[in-house]
Amino acid sequence: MPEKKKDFFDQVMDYISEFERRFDETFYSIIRPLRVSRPSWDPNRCCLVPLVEVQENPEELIVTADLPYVDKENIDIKATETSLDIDAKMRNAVRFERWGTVQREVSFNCYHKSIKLPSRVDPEKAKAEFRGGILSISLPKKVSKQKIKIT
Amino acid sequence: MESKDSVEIVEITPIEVRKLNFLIGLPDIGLVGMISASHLVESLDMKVVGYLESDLFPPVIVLHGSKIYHPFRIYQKDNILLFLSEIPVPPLAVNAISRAITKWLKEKNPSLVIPLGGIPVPNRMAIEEPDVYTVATNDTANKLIDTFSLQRLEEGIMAGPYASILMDCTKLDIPCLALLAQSFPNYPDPGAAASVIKVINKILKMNIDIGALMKNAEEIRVKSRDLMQRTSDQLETMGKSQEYDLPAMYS
Repeated sequence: MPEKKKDFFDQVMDYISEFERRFDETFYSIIRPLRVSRPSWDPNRCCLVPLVEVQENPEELIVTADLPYVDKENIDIKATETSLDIDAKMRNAVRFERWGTVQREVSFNCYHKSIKLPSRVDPEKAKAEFRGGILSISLPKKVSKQKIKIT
Repeated sequence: MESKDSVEIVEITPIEVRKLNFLIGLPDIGLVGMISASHLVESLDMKVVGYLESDLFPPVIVLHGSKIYHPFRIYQKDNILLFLSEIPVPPLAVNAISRAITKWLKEKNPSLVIPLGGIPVPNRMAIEEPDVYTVATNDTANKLIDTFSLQRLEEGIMAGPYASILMDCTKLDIPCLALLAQSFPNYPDPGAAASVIKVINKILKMNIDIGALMKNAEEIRVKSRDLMQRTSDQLETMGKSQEYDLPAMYS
């Protein structure tokens, strides 16, 4: 079916939506490198940076980390009111035979991640669980909100 | 090539298949599509028969055994074709890829198109064996849901490459059945990929072993960390977080 000829208004709307799409793409390409630290490995310490997510709700922060090749006993978590450090030893080293840019064998045997928390937490009330290689840490917020009565 | 914003499907050898089943494994939620598609390529010993080309794609090549490959490739084994990508789909190319593939597929008259993917669930840690939900584009695909007693995705919002493909298949009346396993949103999820393969086994009457996939699950998770991170970044720009939203419209 021949395409219906677009009127002037449709053309303008097309230009605007195309501009918005291009702007979003450019904007995200600029902010992305600032948000994600790269590279995600440290060959000198033989450590990988694990994938981590931080979710925030009114009462607590929930931090999860993907830690394959790790057993519960080999995880070390340290928290302050504003930061969280996760260190974990792998049960076997992970070998990459031809590691990307250097094309040599590299192996990793641990994970390390330091996280600056988006809210102040009470580290003494933190709880952690580890299931299926996923670590989940619940960090209650330091200042709980005061309930305000409506008079 | 038609224009710099179009996507062309290049057949290395002419692809003439009857009763074609076309599987799609793109990096998406939990890399479920990419992990399950890679496992199928290996298990079925599929061969590269084509690739996608466009100026919308980043200048990226993939090296395997010193041989150069396109990142967006089409594999074949008998009447099964599989579209696999090793890099995230660039947001600006999503609609063009979807239009090109569905237009090409319409000419091939496929029996079924099966996008393989994940659906984000917040309690994935507590789920031992992820369920697979389906989305069908026409009566032919819908009948399969009933025949194999599959679960329908009843309400919700989908965003990203599979949303475009499902919409275009609907427009062109191409039988398409998306298989979406409950998955970690931002962690590679071989367990979800195994659930998807079990359903493929039922629908296509195959017997793909998931043993090797589960045995290598930890290695897959470690080695696909960076692709997962890049994919999550790209999906964010496509409004993927809307999939967590409650549907706002009544039908």
